[in-house]
Amino acid sequence: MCMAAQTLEHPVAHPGLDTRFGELIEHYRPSIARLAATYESNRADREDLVQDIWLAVWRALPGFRGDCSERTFVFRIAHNRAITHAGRRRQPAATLDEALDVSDPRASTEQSVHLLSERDRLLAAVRRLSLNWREVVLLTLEGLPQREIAQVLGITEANVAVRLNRARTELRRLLGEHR
Amino acid sequence: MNTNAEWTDLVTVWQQSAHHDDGTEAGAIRRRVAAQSRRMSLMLFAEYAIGAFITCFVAWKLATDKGLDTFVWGFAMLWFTGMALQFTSDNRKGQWVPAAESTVAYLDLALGRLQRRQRSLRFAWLLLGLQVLFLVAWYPATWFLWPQATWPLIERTPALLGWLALVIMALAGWTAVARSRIAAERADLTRIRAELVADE
Repeated sequence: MCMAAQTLEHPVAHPGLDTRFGELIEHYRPSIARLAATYESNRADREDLVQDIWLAVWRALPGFRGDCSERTFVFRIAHNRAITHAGRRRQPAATLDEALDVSDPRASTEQSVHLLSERDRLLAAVRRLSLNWREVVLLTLEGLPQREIAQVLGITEANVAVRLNRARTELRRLLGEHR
Repeated sequence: MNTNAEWTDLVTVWQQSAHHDDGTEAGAIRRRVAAQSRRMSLMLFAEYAIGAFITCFVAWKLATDKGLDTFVWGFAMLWFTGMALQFTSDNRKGQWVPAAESTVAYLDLALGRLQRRQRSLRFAWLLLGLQVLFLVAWYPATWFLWPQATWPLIERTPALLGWLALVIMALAGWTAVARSRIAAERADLTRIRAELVADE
Protein backbone atom coordinates (compact mmCIF):
# COMPACT_ATOMS: atom_id res chain seq x y z
CA MET A 1 0.00 0.00 0.00
CA CYS A 2 1.40 3.36 -0.94
CA MET A 3 2.34 5.91 1.66
CA ALA A 4 0.89 9.34 1.42
CA ALA A 5 1.26 9.91 5.10
CA GLN A 6 4.40 11.97 4.92
CA THR A 7 2.37 14.96 3.92
CA LEU A 8 3.90 17.21 6.52
CA GLU A 9 7.50 16.39 6.00
CA HIS A 10 9.62 18.96 4.32
CA PRO A 11 10.17 18.36 0.65
CA VAL A 12 13.72 17.70 -0.34
CA ALA A 13 14.50 19.60 -3.47
CA HIS A 14 15.72 17.36 -6.23
CA PRO A 15 15.79 17.75 -9.97
CA GLY A 16 12.52 17.05 -11.68
CA LEU A 17 10.36 17.39 -8.58
CA ASP A 18 8.96 20.72 -9.65
CA THR A 19 8.30 19.48 -13.17
CA ARG A 20 6.58 16.38 -11.83
CA PHE A 21 4.45 18.46 -9.53
CA GLY A 22 3.46 20.68 -12.45
CA GLU A 23 2.44 17.61 -14.43
CA LEU A 24 0.33 16.35 -11.53
CA ILE A 25 -1.44 19.70 -11.32
CA GLU A 26 -2.08 19.76 -15.06
CA HIS A 27 -3.41 16.22 -15.01
CA TYR A 28 -5.46 16.17 -11.81
CA ARG A 29 -6.61 19.78 -11.48
CA PRO A 30 -10.17 19.12 -12.72
CA SER A 31 -10.50 16.04 -10.51
CA ILE A 32 -9.28 17.92 -7.45
CA ALA A 33 -11.66 20.79 -8.22
CA ARG A 34 -14.56 18.34 -8.47
CA LEU A 35 -13.51 16.60 -5.26
CA ALA A 36 -13.28 19.93 -3.42
CA ALA A 37 -16.69 20.96 -4.77
CA THR A 38 -18.13 17.74 -3.39
CA TYR A 39 -16.92 18.49 0.12
CA GLU A 40 -17.17 22.27 0.29
CA SER A 41 -20.01 24.31 -1.17
CA ASN A 42 -18.68 27.64 0.01
CA ARG A 43 -16.31 29.17 -2.54
CA ALA A 44 -13.69 30.41 -0.05
CA ASP A 45 -13.60 27.05 1.74
CA ARG A 46 -13.34 25.27 -1.57
CA GLU A 47 -10.38 27.37 -2.67
CA ASP A 48 -8.80 26.82 0.72
CA LEU A 49 -9.21 23.09 0.37
CA VAL A 50 -7.79 22.96 -3.16
CA GLN A 51 -4.77 24.93 -2.00
CA ASP A 52 -4.40 22.68 1.03
CA ILE A 53 -4.51 19.56 -1.14
CA TRP A 54 -1.86 20.77 -3.55
CA LEU A 55 0.38 21.84 -0.70
CA ALA A 56 0.05 18.38 0.84
CA VAL A 57 0.81 16.71 -2.50
CA TRP A 58 3.87 18.91 -2.93
CA ARG A 59 5.17 18.03 0.51
CA ALA A 60 4.52 14.32 0.09
CA LEU A 61 5.91 14.06 -3.41
CA PRO A 62 9.57 13.48 -2.44
CA GLY A 63 8.46 10.48 -0.37
CA PHE A 64 6.42 8.93 -3.17
CA ARG A 65 8.22 5.78 -4.27
CA GLY A 66 5.70 4.52 -6.78
CA ASP A 67 4.33 1.75 -4.52
CA CYS A 68 0.91 2.64 -5.90
CA SER A 69 -0.30 4.53 -8.92
CA GLU A 70 0.16 8.26 -9.06
CA ARG A 71 -3.59 8.62 -9.18
CA THR A 72 -4.03 6.65 -5.94
CA PHE A 73 -1.33 8.78 -4.34
CA VAL A 74 -2.99 12.06 -5.33
CA PHE A 75 -6.51 10.94 -4.49
CA ARG A 76 -5.52 9.55 -1.12
CA ILE A 77 -3.97 12.84 -0.10
CA ALA A 78 -6.87 14.82 -1.55
CA HIS A 79 -9.43 12.65 0.16
CA ASN A 80 -7.78 12.78 3.58
CA ARG A 81 -7.29 16.51 3.31
CA ALA A 82 -10.92 16.99 2.33
CA ILE A 83 -12.13 15.00 5.33
CA THR A 84 -9.94 16.79 7.86
CA HIS A 85 -10.56 20.15 6.20
CA ALA A 86 -14.19 20.05 7.28
CA GLY A 87 -13.22 21.18 10.75
CA ARG A 88 -11.56 24.32 9.47
CA ARG A 89 -14.26 25.59 7.18
CA ARG A 90 -15.07 29.28 7.47
CA GLN A 91 -18.80 28.73 7.34
CA PRO A 92 -20.91 25.96 8.84
CA ALA A 93 -21.53 22.92 6.69
CA ALA A 94 -24.08 23.57 3.98
CA THR A 95 -27.65 22.63 4.65
CA LEU A 96 -29.28 20.35 2.14
CA ASP A 97 -30.73 23.28 0.22
CA GLU A 98 -27.47 25.19 0.27
CA ALA A 99 -25.74 22.10 -0.97
CA LEU A 100 -27.60 22.56 -4.23
CA ASP A 101 -25.39 25.59 -4.80
CA VAL A 102 -28.02 27.25 -6.93
CA SER A 103 -26.53 29.35 -9.71
CA ASP A 104 -29.27 31.99 -9.97
CA PRO A 105 -29.75 33.72 -6.64
CA ARG A 106 -32.96 35.43 -7.82
CA ALA A 107 -34.78 32.20 -8.39
CA SER A 108 -36.47 30.40 -5.54
CA THR A 109 -34.96 27.10 -4.46
CA GLU A 110 -37.81 25.21 -6.01
CA GLN A 111 -37.49 26.99 -9.35
CA SER A 112 -33.74 26.71 -9.30
CA VAL A 113 -33.76 22.99 -8.71
CA HIS A 114 -35.56 22.67 -12.01
CA LEU A 115 -33.03 24.89 -13.67
CA LEU A 116 -30.10 22.84 -12.49
CA SER A 117 -28.23 21.15 -15.23
CA GLU A 118 -27.65 17.46 -15.13
CA ARG A 119 -24.16 17.86 -13.71
CA ASP A 120 -25.34 20.25 -11.01
CA ARG A 121 -28.05 17.83 -10.01
CA LEU A 122 -25.46 15.10 -9.82
CA LEU A 123 -23.15 17.25 -7.69
CA ALA A 124 -26.02 18.22 -5.40
CA ALA A 125 -27.03 14.58 -5.01
CA VAL A 126 -23.46 13.44 -4.33
CA ARG A 127 -23.11 16.13 -1.67
CA ARG A 128 -26.18 14.85 0.07
CA LEU A 129 -24.82 11.33 0.43
CA SER A 130 -23.45 10.30 3.80
CA LEU A 131 -19.69 10.64 4.01
CA ASN A 132 -18.94 6.93 3.68
CA TRP A 133 -21.03 6.64 0.56
CA ARG A 134 -19.99 9.97 -0.86
CA GLU A 135 -16.30 9.12 -0.88
CA VAL A 136 -16.89 5.82 -2.66
CA VAL A 137 -19.24 7.35 -5.24
CA LEU A 138 -16.92 10.28 -5.84
CA LEU A 139 -13.94 8.04 -6.53
CA THR A 140 -16.01 5.77 -8.75
CA LEU A 141 -17.24 8.76 -10.74
CA GLU A 142 -13.63 9.80 -11.13
CA GLY A 143 -13.00 6.46 -12.79
CA LEU A 144 -11.07 4.62 -10.09
CA PRO A 145 -11.53 0.85 -9.98
CA GLN A 146 -12.63 -0.73 -6.69
CA ARG A 147 -9.13 -2.00 -5.93
CA GLU A 148 -7.77 1.54 -6.15
CA ILE A 149 -10.66 2.99 -4.15
CA ALA A 150 -9.88 0.47 -1.42
CA GLN A 151 -6.28 1.69 -1.42
CA VAL A 152 -7.27 5.33 -1.27
CA LEU A 153 -9.72 4.83 1.60
CA GLY A 154 -7.78 2.18 3.48
CA ILE A 155 -10.66 -0.31 3.43
CA THR A 156 -11.20 -3.69 1.81
CA GLU A 157 -12.49 -4.14 -1.72
CA ALA A 158 -15.50 -6.01 -0.32
CA ASN A 159 -16.30 -3.00 1.83
CA VAL A 160 -16.02 -0.74 -1.19
CA ALA A 161 -18.44 -2.96 -3.12
CA VAL A 162 -20.99 -2.95 -0.29
CA ARG A 163 -20.82 0.81 0.17
CA LEU A 164 -21.03 1.44 -3.56
CA ASN A 165 -24.05 -0.75 -3.91
CA ARG A 166 -25.92 1.09 -1.16
CA ALA A 167 -24.69 4.47 -2.35
CA ARG A 168 -25.94 3.85 -5.88
CA THR A 169 -29.42 3.15 -4.59
CA GLU A 170 -29.39 6.30 -2.50
CA LEU A 171 -27.95 8.36 -5.34
CA ARG A 172 -30.68 7.14 -7.61
CA ARG A 173 -33.30 8.20 -5.08
CA LEU A 174 -31.71 11.63 -4.63
CA LEU A 175 -31.43 12.21 -8.37
CA GLY A 176 -35.10 11.33 -8.64
CA GLU A 177 -35.87 13.96 -5.98
CA HIS A 178 -34.01 16.64 -7.91
CA ARG A 179 -35.75 16.03 -11.20
CA MET B 1 -29.80 3.39 -11.55
CA ASN B 2 -30.67 -0.11 -12.43
CA THR B 3 -28.40 -0.47 -15.39
CA ASN B 4 -24.71 -0.08 -15.87
CA ALA B 5 -25.45 2.19 -18.81
CA GLU B 6 -27.10 4.70 -16.51
CA TRP B 7 -24.07 4.65 -14.25
CA THR B 8 -21.72 5.05 -17.20
CA ASP B 9 -23.74 8.11 -18.25
CA LEU B 10 -23.30 9.60 -14.81
CA VAL B 11 -19.56 8.95 -14.93
CA THR B 12 -19.42 10.71 -18.29
CA VAL B 13 -21.43 13.69 -17.05
CA TRP B 14 -19.26 13.91 -13.96
CA GLN B 15 -15.93 13.73 -15.74
CA GLN B 16 -16.93 16.20 -18.44
CA SER B 17 -17.82 18.82 -15.89
CA ALA B 18 -15.31 21.11 -14.33
CA HIS B 19 -17.16 21.89 -11.13
CA HIS B 20 -15.85 25.14 -9.78
CA ASP B 21 -12.50 24.74 -11.45
CA ASP B 22 -11.53 28.39 -11.55
CA GLY B 23 -9.13 27.70 -14.38
CA THR B 24 -6.09 28.84 -12.42
CA GLU B 25 -3.10 27.81 -14.45
CA ALA B 26 -0.69 25.21 -13.11
CA GLY B 27 2.10 27.77 -12.78
CA ALA B 28 0.00 29.94 -10.48
CA ILE B 29 -0.91 26.97 -8.27
CA ARG B 30 2.74 25.98 -8.09
CA ARG B 31 3.79 29.48 -7.10
CA ARG B 32 1.13 29.65 -4.39
CA VAL B 33 2.10 26.24 -3.05
CA ALA B 34 5.79 27.15 -3.04
CA ALA B 35 5.03 30.39 -1.18
CA GLN B 36 2.91 28.60 1.41
CA SER B 37 5.55 25.92 1.86
CA ARG B 38 8.19 28.61 2.43
CA ARG B 39 5.96 30.32 4.98
CA MET B 40 5.57 27.06 6.93
CA SER B 41 9.33 26.46 6.92
CA LEU B 42 9.93 30.06 8.01
CA MET B 43 7.52 29.67 10.93
CA LEU B 44 9.41 26.59 12.11
CA PHE B 45 12.73 28.38 11.63
CA ALA B 46 11.44 31.47 13.46
CA GLU B 47 10.84 29.48 16.67
CA TYR B 48 14.45 28.35 16.79
CA ALA B 49 15.73 31.73 15.59
CA ILE B 50 13.99 33.46 18.49
CA GLY B 51 15.50 30.90 20.87
CA ALA B 52 18.95 31.46 19.38
CA PHE B 53 18.51 35.25 19.56
CA ILE B 54 17.59 35.15 23.26
CA THR B 55 20.52 32.84 24.00
CA CYS B 56 22.95 35.14 22.20
CA PHE B 57 21.50 38.20 23.93
CA VAL B 58 21.86 36.58 27.37
CA ALA B 59 25.39 35.42 26.53
CA TRP B 60 26.29 38.99 25.53
CA LYS B 61 24.81 40.40 28.75
CA LEU B 62 26.67 37.86 30.86
CA ALA B 63 29.91 38.63 29.07
CA THR B 64 29.57 42.38 29.54
CA ASP B 65 28.05 42.41 33.03
CA LYS B 66 29.43 39.96 35.56
CA GLY B 67 27.05 40.88 38.40
CA LEU B 68 25.14 38.24 40.31
CA ASP B 69 21.80 39.82 39.37
CA THR B 70 22.63 39.55 35.67
CA PHE B 71 23.63 35.95 36.20
CA VAL B 72 20.34 35.09 37.92
CA TRP B 73 18.32 36.97 35.33
CA GLY B 74 20.26 35.37 32.45
CA PHE B 75 19.88 31.92 33.93
CA ALA B 76 16.11 32.42 34.24
CA MET B 77 15.84 33.67 30.66
CA LEU B 78 17.76 30.66 29.35
CA TRP B 79 15.70 28.29 31.45
CA PHE B 80 12.42 29.70 30.15
CA THR B 81 13.66 29.64 26.55
CA GLY B 82 14.90 26.06 26.87
CA MET B 83 11.62 25.04 28.43
CA ALA B 84 9.64 26.59 25.56
CA LEU B 85 11.81 24.97 22.87
CA GLN B 86 11.64 21.61 24.62
CA PHE B 87 7.86 21.89 24.80
CA THR B 88 7.41 22.79 21.13
CA SER B 89 9.67 19.91 20.13
CA ASP B 90 7.87 17.38 22.38
CA ASN B 91 4.48 18.68 21.35
CA ARG B 92 5.19 17.91 17.70
CA LYS B 93 6.11 14.28 18.32
CA GLY B 94 3.72 11.78 16.81
CA GLN B 95 1.82 14.48 14.97
CA TRP B 96 3.19 13.88 11.49
CA VAL B 97 2.17 10.40 10.44
CA PRO B 98 -1.12 8.63 11.13
CA ALA B 99 -1.14 5.26 12.88
CA ALA B 100 -2.60 3.60 9.80
CA GLU B 101 -3.42 4.47 6.21
CA SER B 102 -7.11 4.95 6.73
CA THR B 103 -9.48 7.88 6.88
CA VAL B 104 -10.23 7.28 10.54
CA ALA B 105 -6.50 7.31 11.32
CA TYR B 106 -6.17 10.65 9.55
CA LEU B 107 -9.08 12.00 11.54
CA ASP B 108 -7.42 10.77 14.73
CA LEU B 109 -4.27 12.55 13.65
CA ALA B 110 -6.25 15.75 13.08
CA LEU B 111 -7.85 15.37 16.51
CA GLY B 112 -4.39 14.80 17.98
CA ARG B 113 -3.25 18.06 16.44
CA LEU B 114 -6.15 19.85 18.07
CA GLN B 115 -5.05 18.39 21.38
CA ARG B 116 -1.57 19.69 20.65
CA ARG B 117 -2.95 23.18 20.09
CA GLN B 118 -4.84 22.91 23.36
CA ARG B 119 -1.63 21.89 25.12
CA SER B 120 0.14 24.89 23.58
CA LEU B 121 -2.44 27.21 25.10
CA ARG B 122 -2.00 25.66 28.53
CA PHE B 123 1.76 25.85 28.20
CA ALA B 124 1.64 29.55 27.24
CA TRP B 125 -0.24 30.30 30.46
CA LEU B 126 2.10 28.10 32.49
CA LEU B 127 5.13 29.90 31.09
CA LEU B 128 3.59 33.28 31.79
CA GLY B 129 2.73 32.18 35.33
CA LEU B 130 6.30 31.02 35.94
CA GLN B 131 7.67 34.29 34.63
CA VAL B 132 5.37 36.27 36.89
CA LEU B 133 6.43 34.07 39.82
CA PHE B 134 10.04 34.74 38.95
CA LEU B 135 9.40 38.48 38.91
CA VAL B 136 7.54 38.32 42.21
CA ALA B 137 10.46 36.47 43.76
CA TRP B 138 12.98 38.69 42.05
CA TYR B 139 11.80 41.96 43.61
CA PRO B 140 12.25 41.01 47.29
CA ALA B 141 15.54 39.37 46.37
CA THR B 142 16.85 42.57 44.85
CA TRP B 143 15.68 44.47 47.90
CA PHE B 144 17.87 42.34 50.18
CA LEU B 145 20.78 41.67 47.89
CA TRP B 146 21.19 44.97 46.05
CA PRO B 147 19.43 47.73 48.04
CA GLN B 148 21.14 50.35 45.90
CA ALA B 149 19.63 48.86 42.74
CA THR B 150 16.11 48.62 44.10
CA TRP B 151 15.00 52.19 43.36
CA PRO B 152 15.57 52.09 39.62
CA LEU B 153 13.74 48.80 39.59
CA ILE B 154 10.79 50.24 41.47
CA GLU B 155 10.71 53.20 39.10
CA ARG B 156 10.31 50.79 36.25
CA THR B 157 7.48 48.92 37.97
CA PRO B 158 4.56 50.77 36.28
CA ALA B 159 6.03 50.09 32.84
CA LEU B 160 6.60 46.47 33.77
CA LEU B 161 3.05 46.06 35.06
CA GLY B 162 1.73 47.75 31.94
CA TRP B 163 3.59 45.30 29.73
CA LEU B 164 2.43 42.41 31.84
CA ALA B 165 -1.20 43.54 31.57
CA LEU B 166 -0.80 43.86 27.82
CA VAL B 167 0.66 40.36 27.54
CA ILE B 168 -2.10 38.90 29.71
CA MET B 169 -4.81 40.60 27.66
CA ALA B 170 -3.28 39.48 24.36
CA LEU B 171 -2.90 35.94 25.65
CA ALA B 172 -6.46 35.92 26.99
CA GLY B 173 -7.79 37.11 23.63
CA TRP B 174 -5.75 34.52 21.75
CA THR B 175 -6.88 31.81 24.15
CA ALA B 176 -10.56 32.69 23.74
CA VAL B 177 -10.39 32.67 19.94
CA ALA B 178 -8.23 29.55 19.77
CA ARG B 179 -10.39 27.63 22.25
CA SER B 180 -13.59 28.35 20.39
CA ARG B 181 -11.95 27.32 17.08
CA ILE B 182 -10.56 24.15 18.63
CA ALA B 183 -13.95 23.28 20.09
CA ALA B 184 -15.70 23.83 16.74
CA GLU B 185 -13.11 21.81 14.83
CA ARG B 186 -13.19 19.02 17.38
CA ALA B 187 -16.98 18.82 17.23
CA ASP B 188 -16.88 18.63 13.43
CA LEU B 189 -14.11 16.04 13.28
CA THR B 190 -15.68 13.93 16.01
CA ARG B 191 -19.01 13.98 14.19
CA ILE B 192 -17.36 12.94 10.92
CA ARG B 193 -15.41 10.20 12.69
CA ALA B 194 -18.55 8.86 14.34
CA GLU B 195 -20.31 8.90 10.98
CA LEU B 196 -17.49 6.93 9.38
CA VAL B 197 -17.16 4.39 12.18
CA ALA B 198 -20.92 3.85 12.41
CA ASP B 199 -21.10 2.95 8.74
CA GLU B 200 -18.08 0.63 8.82
